[in-house]
Amino acid sequence: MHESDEVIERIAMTLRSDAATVAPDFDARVMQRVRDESRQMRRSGVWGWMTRSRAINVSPLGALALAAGLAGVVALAARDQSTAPAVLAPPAAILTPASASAEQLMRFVFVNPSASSVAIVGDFNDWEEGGSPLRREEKGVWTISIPLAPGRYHYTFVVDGTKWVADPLAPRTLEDDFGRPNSVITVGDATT
Amino acid sequence: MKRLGLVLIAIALVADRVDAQDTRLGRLDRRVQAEVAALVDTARSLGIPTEPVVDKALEGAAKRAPNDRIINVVRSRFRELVAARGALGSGALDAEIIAAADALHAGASPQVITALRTRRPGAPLTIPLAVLADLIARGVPADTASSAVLALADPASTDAQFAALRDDIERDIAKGAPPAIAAHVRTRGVPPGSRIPIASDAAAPTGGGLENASTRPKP
Repeated sequence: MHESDEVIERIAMTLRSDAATVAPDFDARVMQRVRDESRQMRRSGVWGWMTRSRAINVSPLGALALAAGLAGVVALAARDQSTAPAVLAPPAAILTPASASAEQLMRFVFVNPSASSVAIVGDFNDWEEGGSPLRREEKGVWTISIPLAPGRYHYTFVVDGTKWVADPLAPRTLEDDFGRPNSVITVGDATT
Repeated sequence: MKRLGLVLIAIALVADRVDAQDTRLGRLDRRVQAEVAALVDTARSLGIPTEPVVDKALEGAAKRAPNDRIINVVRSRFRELVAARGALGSGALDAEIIAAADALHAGASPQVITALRTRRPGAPLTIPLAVLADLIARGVPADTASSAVLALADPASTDAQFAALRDDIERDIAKGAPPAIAAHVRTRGVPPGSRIPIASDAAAPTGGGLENASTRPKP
């Protein structure tokens, strides 16, 4: 037997003797501990997980950064406090009118398959040509929705930028003051 | 210190004047612009809504109307607003004044507007007045339209009821009923199963629907 063989044999004997020191019920105890842990998790659920104490290691630099972040959040919340409700509030146009001055979203529809552009002009947009262009839908239907407060408004459509056309679906004014017909829309108070 | 106060007052006056200048008037001819600005100032001092005056001028400009025509129409509009305000009395909403001016423009009398206010104290009049103007615009004689609206006017009546009255009359007119008869029938109520005379009934006696309606007791 070589010298190296003797060294290997000694190491092997040492390892065999260490393995013999493990208790015979070691596996059973480990598995019992795992089962207990699992049962505890199922019993306490999320609340147990959240309330179980843990050790957290934080460096001094990390603690400073955390404190600075919290201070920043508090400062931002205080600064935005006055504007937060307005941002969260839905647009007035889609709210149920709550007073005589509440606006309602009125939808205007005009049908002209051959038109290349249609706009609406009236009391509600200062009669500004092109200020309120209608959007082309399918089959030559043009639409636009405009928020209007309760009242009576005069308006007309402008087709292709030149042709003034009264709304065929709405009442017209009795006489036209300026030689071109107007239509009339009356917006009521939804609460009455 | 006194000088500083005067300077501040001057700045405030200038700022107020600049604020009062309506940039939309820049779309008007200079002569029309001056006339409209004067009317707006007067309207403001009288507690009359100024927007209808400006709107009418802008409408005229958009429609390329001659300056003299725009000025005449704007003055007429202003007079109607003043009359509407007088007929409605104090406390009228801007929308009510505008609707009343429209009714006057259509041909209603100030007395009818005052009567409406009396019959519906505290209730909004915008829709009833708008319905009155719409009916006259559709060809219903002013007296008949006024009677129809006044017949419905009481503190408990709703805007929806006035709108329904107008829609019914307009629908009958669209079918060919003479406007006055349509208003009469709808005001007095249509008995179930009765017909409203329409243009295609010209060869037949045209009073059927009206006779049925007029014999029905007023609700």
